[in-house]
Amino acid sequence: MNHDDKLRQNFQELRNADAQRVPAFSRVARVPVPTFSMPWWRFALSAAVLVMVIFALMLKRQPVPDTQPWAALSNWRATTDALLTVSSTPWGSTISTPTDSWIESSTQTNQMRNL
Amino acid sequence: MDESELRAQLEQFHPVSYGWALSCCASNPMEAEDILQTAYLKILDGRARFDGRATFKTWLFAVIRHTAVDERRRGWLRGARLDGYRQERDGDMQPAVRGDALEQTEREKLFREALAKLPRRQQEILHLVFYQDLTIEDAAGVMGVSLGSARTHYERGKHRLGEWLQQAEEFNESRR
Repeated sequence: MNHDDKLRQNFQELRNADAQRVPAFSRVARVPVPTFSMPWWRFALSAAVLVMVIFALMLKRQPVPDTQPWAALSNWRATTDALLTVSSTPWGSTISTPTDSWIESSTQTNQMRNL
Repeated sequence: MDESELRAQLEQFHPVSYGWALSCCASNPMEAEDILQTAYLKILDGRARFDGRATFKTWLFAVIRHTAVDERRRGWLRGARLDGYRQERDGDMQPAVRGDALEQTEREKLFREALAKLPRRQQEILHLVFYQDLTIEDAAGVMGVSLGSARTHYERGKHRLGEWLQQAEEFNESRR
């Protein structure tokens, strides 16, 4: 018996042994029952969480700043524009002179004397 | 090929497919059955399609081999996916099929061990040629390697297994 024949004989023994343990085809070829089943309340919970997340995102959403160049130009104001505004109060009543403080203090002295 | 034809073909090759599945998973009967079931499902639900380029047997063996490689890679996933099937199957399993209860002759057991020590490619080619009676060319097709590569694996595997057989014979003769 040559080398190949010996190998063939050994494999033949394996094949005979395996043939006795072959599981039934009907058992192997049947579709397994899926173990992962999602109950209805999990779907409901997932949907509720999803809606809440979308709602929160919508609330948090910031207004988009207007970046159009024409809009920026129309809003621009020069810093010296403030000088162009005219006050509505009479000119003389708002300006104090250096002697105002002297006049005020002398008036107070006279009032004290009269007392 | 419709589903009934596919089923008929699968049933015809079922015993040899089981032997090949065993070879793909280190002779673990439970794992072999899982692999076989996954491969059959792939074929029956159309994820694996027979295009007629090779013989049905060669193509089927290639599907089983790919399934075994995938399942090995994703072992942790397999556990979760097939739990239900295992529970159902273990309930009606005959005692003779359980791995621990397998009665193997001493010689058969030693030969399996010697085979398991070979590199995977060498195991596969020897199984396909000597156990399944495929040609080296067909075996190369199943394994997805070139003919030259398959021949190299075949020669090396045969040589190593031959050495083991020689040692086993010498040992047996010295005991007599």
